[in-house]
Amino acid sequence: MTSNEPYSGLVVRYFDAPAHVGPLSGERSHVFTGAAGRREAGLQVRFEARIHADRIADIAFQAYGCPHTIAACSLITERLAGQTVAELHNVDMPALMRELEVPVEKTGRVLILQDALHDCFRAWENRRLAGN
Amino acid sequence: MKLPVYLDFAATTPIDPAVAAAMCECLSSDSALGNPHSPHASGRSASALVEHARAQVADLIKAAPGDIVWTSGATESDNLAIIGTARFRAGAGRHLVTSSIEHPAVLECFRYLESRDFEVTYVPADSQGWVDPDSVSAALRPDTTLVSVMHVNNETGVIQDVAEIGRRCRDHGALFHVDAAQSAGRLALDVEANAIDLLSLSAQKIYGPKGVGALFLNRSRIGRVQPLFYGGGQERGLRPGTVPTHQVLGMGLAFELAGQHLEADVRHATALRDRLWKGVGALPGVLLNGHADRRVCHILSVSVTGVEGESLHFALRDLAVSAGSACATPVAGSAAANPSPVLRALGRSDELARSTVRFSVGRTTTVDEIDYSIKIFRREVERLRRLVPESQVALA
Repeated sequence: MTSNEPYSGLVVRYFDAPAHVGPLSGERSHVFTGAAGRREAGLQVRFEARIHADRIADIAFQAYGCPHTIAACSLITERLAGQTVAELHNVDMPALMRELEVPVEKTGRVLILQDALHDCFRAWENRRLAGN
Repeated sequence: MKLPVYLDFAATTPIDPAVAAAMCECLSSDSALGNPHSPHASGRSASALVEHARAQVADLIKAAPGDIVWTSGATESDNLAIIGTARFRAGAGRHLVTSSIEHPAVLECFRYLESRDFEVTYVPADSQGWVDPDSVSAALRPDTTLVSVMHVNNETGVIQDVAEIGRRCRDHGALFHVDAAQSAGRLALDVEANAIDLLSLSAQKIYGPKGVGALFLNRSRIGRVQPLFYGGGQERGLRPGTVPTHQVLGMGLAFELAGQHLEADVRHATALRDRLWKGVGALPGVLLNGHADRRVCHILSVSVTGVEGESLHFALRDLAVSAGSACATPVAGSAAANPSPVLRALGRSDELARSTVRFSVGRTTTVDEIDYSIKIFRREVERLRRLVPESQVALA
């Protein structure tokens, strides 16, 4: 990233054309939701994952946030689609932040995405434990 | 169409080609190479150019040329006017009045003076960004020496009633300073009719060069102010330092051209601003900042609900626009851009203040550029809103 450009090429690409934008369409019985953040604080994010047989069949995001947030959400959903549900817990946020060249002062914000992913996993796990 | 579309004329303007040509000629001309304060022929030749420019600036505001002091810009003019007056008149009183929505170049002067044991009353603006003259009057005290209220707010474009405020200050005996950086060349200015004692001017806002400005100082009423720095006595000791002949020549010509173009410029800017507002304001949840009618021709400030500010500004990167002002635009990539104090004073939430766009049109702006900007604005706002969970767009 040149010193004159405010965002990396990767951020620009995912911000301009984010993929996996929610909400998920179709039947909702296997859709699990995780959310975190507050708009008043400048970041609110929501992930929806359709999970079949412990696999993320489809995943989408919605976000109120800065370009780094939107790009991170899109990249995360792109990589999680098709993975096992356990991967909701395993996203390497520091590596993602380095990849997107997120400024260090935004670390706290981007970690909120991790809270939302964990929230989504918990929703799935709670239903699994309840035997549904 | 050349991108980005430049819609930030309130921040700065492209230099008029005639002004640039005149300045270049001045830089390479023998008749201008002298120090305008030298007594020999070379100096007198340069001095003549400086004095001609002084008269050109004075003419636009109906002032006497001898009441114009050259500075490096409106910020310095504000500092000289406010700090210089407060210090010089401290024996008569240490109370000062300004509004809460002034440019930082004014507000920071008052904050500095507060740290030096002056007392300052900040008169609030109403929810439309207007400073009621009655509120200014109510703030005046026997020990008030100076009132400062800007003519046109740089963020919202709202026009203050400086004539009425000036009259009241004159009746009270307090000096009245006006920052006219955004109004010169766009509104008729008459310092005597408006009872203005000090007026800050900027060349770069009306197609002149950056780095030069002027302060009108009514010598017959004020006498002098305390200078900010000391040196060779130029500008009657108020602003020492060699006057840059080419810079002031550029400012003078820009001001003369502004006077000639004023009606046409106002007509052109008003039409474009209104076209722009009609286009962007048609989207739900796009809120106009500032008074709907008391607005200068070239500035349009809108706050957009349902979109995050940093994303909004990056999405609009094909348009060169400001957040609140050039001085308040969030640094890209920054997690904590400070919301504009002006917008907060108008009652906008921090969230809305961050999602504010200031458009400002100019002499060279075209209808095609406006229409393109409307298209981009609508497209990107709608796109960003679709990304937001449980979007809650407030209908205006």
